[in-house]
Amino acid sequence: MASHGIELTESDLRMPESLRGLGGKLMPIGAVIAIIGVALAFVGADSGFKHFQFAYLTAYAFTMTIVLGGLIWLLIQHVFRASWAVAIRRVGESVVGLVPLMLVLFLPILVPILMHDDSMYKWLNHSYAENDAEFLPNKQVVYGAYLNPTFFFGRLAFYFAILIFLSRFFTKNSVAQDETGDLATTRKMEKFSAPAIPIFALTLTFLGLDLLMSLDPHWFSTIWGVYLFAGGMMSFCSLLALLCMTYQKHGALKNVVRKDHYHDLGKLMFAFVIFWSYIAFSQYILIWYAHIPEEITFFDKRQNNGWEWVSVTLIFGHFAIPLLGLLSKHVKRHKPTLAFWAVWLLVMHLLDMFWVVMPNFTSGHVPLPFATIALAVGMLAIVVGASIRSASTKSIVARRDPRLGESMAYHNV
Amino acid sequence: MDSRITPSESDDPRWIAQLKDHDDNSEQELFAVVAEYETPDAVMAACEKVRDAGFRDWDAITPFPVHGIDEAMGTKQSILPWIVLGAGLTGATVGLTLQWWTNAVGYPFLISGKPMFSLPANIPVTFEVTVLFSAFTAFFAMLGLNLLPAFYHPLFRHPRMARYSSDRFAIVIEAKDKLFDREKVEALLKGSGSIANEVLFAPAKRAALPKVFHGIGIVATLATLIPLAFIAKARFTHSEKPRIHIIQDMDMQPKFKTQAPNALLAGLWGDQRASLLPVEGTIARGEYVADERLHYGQEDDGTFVTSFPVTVDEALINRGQERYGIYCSVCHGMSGDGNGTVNQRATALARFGGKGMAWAPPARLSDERILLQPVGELYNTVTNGKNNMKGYAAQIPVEDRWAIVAYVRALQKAATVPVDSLTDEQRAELQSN
Ligand code: HEC
Repeated sequence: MASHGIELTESDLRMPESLRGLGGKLMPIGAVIAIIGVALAFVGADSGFKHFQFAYLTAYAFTMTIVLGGLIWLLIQHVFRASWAVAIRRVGESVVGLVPLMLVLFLPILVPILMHDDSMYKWLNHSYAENDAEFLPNKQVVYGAYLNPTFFFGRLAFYFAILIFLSRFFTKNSVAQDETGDLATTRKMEKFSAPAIPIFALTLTFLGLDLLMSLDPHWFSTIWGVYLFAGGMMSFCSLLALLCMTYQKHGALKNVVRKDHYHDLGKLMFAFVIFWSYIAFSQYILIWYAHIPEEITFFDKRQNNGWEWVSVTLIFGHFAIPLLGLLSKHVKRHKPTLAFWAVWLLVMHLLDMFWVVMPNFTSGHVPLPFATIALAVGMLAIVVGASIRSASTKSIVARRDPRLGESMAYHNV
Repeated sequence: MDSRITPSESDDPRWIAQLKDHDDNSEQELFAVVAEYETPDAVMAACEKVRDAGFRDWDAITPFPVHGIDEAMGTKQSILPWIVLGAGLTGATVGLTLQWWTNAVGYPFLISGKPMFSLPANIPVTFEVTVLFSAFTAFFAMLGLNLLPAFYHPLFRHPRMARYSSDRFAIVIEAKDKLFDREKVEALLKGSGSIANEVLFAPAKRAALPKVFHGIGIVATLATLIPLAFIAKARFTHSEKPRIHIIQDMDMQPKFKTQAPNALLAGLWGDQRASLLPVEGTIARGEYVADERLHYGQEDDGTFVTSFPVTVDEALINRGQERYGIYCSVCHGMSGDGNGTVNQRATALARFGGKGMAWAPPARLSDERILLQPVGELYNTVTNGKNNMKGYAAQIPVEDRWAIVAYVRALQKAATVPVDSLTDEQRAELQSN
């Protein structure tokens, strides 16, 4: 439609040197911050390896949900044949393609539990499972058939295989189209995105169940996967907005990405603020109303001993305040304010993951968050750096996508 | 059907005549100048020109929403979002107030121990009412702001209107605009990439709404107040009549009540009872009583049994403990002291002035009177209830009732052991808890 005939020059497609340099710098900086985080886990009242493990899991859950939020975002763009996002899709893809890196970052969690460290996943310990099975006979099946180490590691391998395959498939094909300009590639991605969405949804649900929900083996919530998806998608859109702004600050994408794209990212952020709250509240009200001992423990832990303040902060910081803050169109179309809210939401997502994971470490009090913060910031910096590095080796716009013209000329109001 | 009009065609006086209203008696006046375009890009470019010329009473007509045309037309942002925001906030307030008033003020009712007014339980309804108000307001305010529904508009007379809702685009500058000057407007539009320009006439006087509709409107508005008046009346008056059954199915089910007569069957069986008697010599499933002592806890002569009709062993007591915990402890307390959670809550409510509340506290099971009761009597209390306590026959099977009685006996024993008879170890253990 109304393409005002924007022509892309070679320099629009290549990443500016300064940005590439930033990407290269971010990774070592991130590593240093993460190492500081590791060190912080060993000081203070809760110091110890266990603190490191839980803090690392929080940081990992934070980063991984963002990357996976990106993957589902990408699938959704394809399944809807969305044109608006084509101009910024490559920036998103550079994050989505990092699932293999996330596998490497998973090792510090995996190695200790492979060596039979059961301080995080209590059920890995045989006698715990047996005692508990006596106490709660209906859990016997769960421990025997589902929460057993062999099956657990098998499942993790399976999830990563699926996720790596999906992320590779969509990023590789998109890049391949830069050369061939083949319309069939677009059609192939669209077609495959439809079955990929339920596959992804199940994988994310089970991954979340195994990594986070099983920290408290008594507790269960059937909405858990959706909860993680909501937070991840919201945070990914925030990160994507920030990334696009960074690109533009370095002179990239200046003819390509416009206010209208930020406006749409802002709408998605806003929508997922609400969606997260909706899901979080649905989970809460059912458990609160039924008041079943097995389930209520989850919120009981999070409503006592200082954790209630974290919960209340989430209600306001993750819902009420950004809801009002992002409501206006002008906020979404104004880069600095959108950047502010994007950072805000990322912080809230980290707090959310802290709230999910950490009460399993110390339910009696809220541990100092510095180790977790440093680890999460470090890990995110590594991921962002890696995404910029990987984007620098190819065109930063999906330049021969058939909908690129439409996307660049796209108007939102 | 290609009926492309060239500018020369539109200068044709016949063409202009055709655009006049059919009603020849009425005086015609210039309504607007209409320009036609072939592509969205062309109409967008033209819009920018008209906008920059400073016109206000004009519009662009497109068969589908054209992205960016608002900006090209210089349309100000609609106030609709603010109206909807207001409606949403109103909805939230109404939803919350409604629940607060009905649950905590108008008809307070304790449900599963939750507070009368507790925010989490009220969120879903508040949310729904917010959405309801917002959605309706968005819809109707949108219609209102667009002056819809409109049964007549001079543009409807335009023979090209059909094309503007399928594959052509148009700009209409109305004569009522302050800057309107026919020559200038025509020149502006001609030079804006249009493929045709027309001048549109309309009757100078629009037909007014017939008077009778005003009357109908007023009557209809007043009629909507009638139900409200009835509700108000019902709230503030008393009536002896049975209430109105709005949902008949629930209140009057097509079935026979146990003790009601049934005229239908009278002819067949000569008996008017709704519940038929069992056929002679038969017994309903589950109603066979093999052992009366076990079932009723009574001897043949109606006195309560004094020994257990079941074997009392550890398994039975354990079972009894579990069942007691489930069924009895809420009132009688885990130790049988009569101070279970229900009692605590009820006394608390009574202390804070529960309206018209009378609370008979549950019995202390180790009271001497109850200690002396034979087991059959305890069993009878569990089965059929006693005074203010209801029977549990419907919930607890016979064997479990005996198990509970056995456990109650154990509790009584525990509550009546003299302290002196305990060994030091036992005392230490008790004190440690
Ligand atoms: C809803 C509360 C409630 C529950 C549940 C309840 N009771 Fe009671 N119970 C009472 C009250 C109130 C009384 C006192 C009745 C009165 O005298 O008005 C009572 C009285 C009794 C008495 C004394 C009867 C007498 O002879 O005066 C016994 C024995 C008893 N309950 C046993 C049980 C057992 C066993 C159970 C469990 C199956 C049970 N109750 C469950 C409220 C309850």
